Amino acid sequence: MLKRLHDISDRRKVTIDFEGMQLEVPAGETVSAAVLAAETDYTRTSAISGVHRGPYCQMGVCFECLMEIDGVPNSQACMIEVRHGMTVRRQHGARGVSDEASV
Amino acid sequence: MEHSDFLVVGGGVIGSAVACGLLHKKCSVTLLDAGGDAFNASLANFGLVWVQGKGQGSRRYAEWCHEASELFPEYVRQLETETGIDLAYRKPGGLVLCHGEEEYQKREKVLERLRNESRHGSYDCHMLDRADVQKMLPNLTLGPGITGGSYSAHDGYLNPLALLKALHMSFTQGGGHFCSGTAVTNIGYQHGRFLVTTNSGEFTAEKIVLAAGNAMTRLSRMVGMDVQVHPEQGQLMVTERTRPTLSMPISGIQQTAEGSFIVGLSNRNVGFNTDTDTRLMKQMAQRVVNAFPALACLKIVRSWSSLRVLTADGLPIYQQSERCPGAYAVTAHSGVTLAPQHQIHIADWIAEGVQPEEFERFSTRRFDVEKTA
Amino acid sequence: MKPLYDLVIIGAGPAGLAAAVTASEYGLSTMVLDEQQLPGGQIYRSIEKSVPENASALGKDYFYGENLVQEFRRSRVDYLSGATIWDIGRDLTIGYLADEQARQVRAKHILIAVGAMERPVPIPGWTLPGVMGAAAADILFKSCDMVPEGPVVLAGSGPLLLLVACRLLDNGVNVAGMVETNGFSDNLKALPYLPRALRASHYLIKGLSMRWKVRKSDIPIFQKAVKLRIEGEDSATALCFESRGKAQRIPARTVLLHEGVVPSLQLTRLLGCEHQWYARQRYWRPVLGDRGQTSVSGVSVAGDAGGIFGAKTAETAGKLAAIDIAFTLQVLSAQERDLAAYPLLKVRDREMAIRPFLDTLFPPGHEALVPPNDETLVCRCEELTAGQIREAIALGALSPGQVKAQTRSGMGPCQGRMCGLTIAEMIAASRQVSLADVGHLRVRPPVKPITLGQLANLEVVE
Repeated sequence: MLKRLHDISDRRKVTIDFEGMQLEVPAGETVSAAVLAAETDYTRTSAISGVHRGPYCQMGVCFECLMEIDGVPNSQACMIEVRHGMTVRRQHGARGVSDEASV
Repeated sequence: MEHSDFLVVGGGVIGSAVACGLLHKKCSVTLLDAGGDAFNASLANFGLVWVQGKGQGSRRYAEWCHEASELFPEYVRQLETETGIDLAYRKPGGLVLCHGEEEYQKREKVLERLRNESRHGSYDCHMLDRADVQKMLPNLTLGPGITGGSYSAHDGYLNPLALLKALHMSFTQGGGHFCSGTAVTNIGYQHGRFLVTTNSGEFTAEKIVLAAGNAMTRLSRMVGMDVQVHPEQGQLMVTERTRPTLSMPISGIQQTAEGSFIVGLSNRNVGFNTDTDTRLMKQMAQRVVNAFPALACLKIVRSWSSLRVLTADGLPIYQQSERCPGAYAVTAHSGVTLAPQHQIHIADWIAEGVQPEEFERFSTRRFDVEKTA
Repeated sequence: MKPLYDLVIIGAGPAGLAAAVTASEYGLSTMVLDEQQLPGGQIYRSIEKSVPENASALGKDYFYGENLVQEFRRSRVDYLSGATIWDIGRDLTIGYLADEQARQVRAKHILIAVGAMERPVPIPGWTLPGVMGAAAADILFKSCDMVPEGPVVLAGSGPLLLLVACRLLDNGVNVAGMVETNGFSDNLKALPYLPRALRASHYLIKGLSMRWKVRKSDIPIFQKAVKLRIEGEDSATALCFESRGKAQRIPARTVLLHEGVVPSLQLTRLLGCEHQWYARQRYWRPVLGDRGQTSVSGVSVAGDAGGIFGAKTAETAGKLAAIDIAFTLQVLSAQERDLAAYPLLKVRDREMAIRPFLDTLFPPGHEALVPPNDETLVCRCEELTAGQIREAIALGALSPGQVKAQTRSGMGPCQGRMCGLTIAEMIAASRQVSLADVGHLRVRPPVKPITLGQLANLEVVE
């Protein structure tokens, strides 16, 4: 739902994996912006009714942009900058707890 | 001025349960609640329907809790049918975890004492070793420091906020008059009738039930009783919603029906202070992570602290005033667990004078005995 | 990093930056903690890495912040970016999260300069993807060189709505409509404040030129819009409303909502500072002295966190607060303090002169305050509708805390930031009392989520 205004070919870029798609995005962008610029508008399904939700405030207040970032569920995508090799997934409903994750 | 057969002061779990019970006696009942902080104990608890470990040194109290847990399934069914509110009641049994060898031995002694004090050694709760505890919690690996625990099949939990809401709804739908935001400033007694002054007008009643938590000491003196209670601060923390993981409630760790974990078990005597304490929060978090290392990744979304209502010996007080007959004091620490007892038996006692077995053990006269002894 | 500072400033927007520079000039050991990665706050967001091509659209008011940030970078201040505050104790011990670790730092004095947030605009459909705050769009433009895909509809009230509309137009975005919830009668009400506002005429000129720009574009403009509703299944497809008695529907890919901004109060609430209700813009703000002192000793506030007065005023307030704190810490005498504060107070008075006019011209729309439609989601986290909130109020809930207990409103990860004010307004409307009598949610730590593991590993500072 977002578009970049200017060509990014001469800017420093990183590659992130969003739901299996490899996105080449400028360094310093927030995860939520990078993802919304990739022809998507929802970043999670809600924990109760499972409806689509997307970022609302872009400044860390609304907690609508919660995503699974590098394996960490419910991370605020608008407060985290992209890093090379980052894996980003939509947060589907409530998070899980697994023993492996804690090791 | 409004008149009713019964006036119940305190709209928490205890007062509301008693009020609902009285309403079933075809009496007119008014329930006053001060609101705000007065709500506290009913609003900030684990929602445990808990039997194990309760009643050391008081067989009757241990039984009273056990009877309540037996009444609970039917009690919940009725309340849910009446109000359509899901109380999320489950009775999978409950666990107390022991961190280290010392806690294990201490716990074993507690259960042994309860068994010795019970009739015919019928007390039903037993110790489990680490491997057996692990079997009961298939989704979470125990931390290395857990030596075992105790298990009782009689323990369970519900959503305490839903219980309170259901009680209020049942009371209102049943024709009771619920006055929120109404704080009692004075209680007068004349010609066998009570005149109650509040911040929003006066009320009269034939009988009055005090179930006002930590305001009990002050209010009981207005009707010639000296029911002493004191606040004890408890603190807890709540995490983000998580998919169902924990198969049964654990003392200090519980997963709600919504998926949040409620954690923490603390007691501080800090008067009427309800600030949380960061060091205490840290200790509680450490204990949870020690029990289940996998829970370390869960985000805490809020903490809470509120005041338990404790009597000198921690047991309930059910007492009628001698000086002002028709005035009753009802207070207990376990308002959730004892809800069916309060709604059924305490209402019977107040409305009809029917006393449960060995009921005098819950009167304030037990403290007189101690004084003279 | 030290365990104890004379002054810890929270927030690196105009107020925090100016305060930090001033405090370091007076020799106070100063630390600045900020949640963002770069200094500037939301108003000067990402100013150190702005895209040169956007210079004209960002305008000179934005680049004014460059100087401020440069001065800050040159000053001798410990600055930690990406630091999220989760607790402040009454002994002024601050708990923060940085690099995934919970830490503490102690302060002799704390300056809260955390700014504002957009007022939530609960209308049916506002939780659909494709709906954002207008300020959010502005942040994306400044920080990521991005604009929302058209057609875009802007709806609500406030100067920022106008500013964002202009920026979208400058960038060639297809703006399909400007739907204002205020109207001509608000212009009339604001008129008496105009003479005073002329003292800060540069704002008026900027405002008029923005309005002129929107007018001369061929965007349809609607005023006094009511019954706003966003259509869509999985994402927004249109904004529907009524204006001048006529039903309207504007198809849109993106809907930007705005009903003004309100102070961020989590920290002042947590610390137990006294607050007052500001009825004209319908928000709470901490009660502050002339130089930002709160009712809690050792705690000051500067900038929009103390009431919405804008970036320039925030900068001046930051300097004033730092001067006052230097006096409190016995670095300045009372005389030196007054001498330093005097010219700043005059500047601030002039800057603030525009506010009564603006606040009256752009009142938050009534429907955004008390959503009339029962289906509107009020608590986004716990997915509670206005109908469910009203049901709890009918059952006897008298305060946001009691509504929370009955419904779980405010128990989700945003901790009531998005629903707290709306629920208080709903209670006040239903009971026909002032917001001041309704109260607010009690703020408890952690004010931002931290994990059990992070808390368990906290190194407690003695």
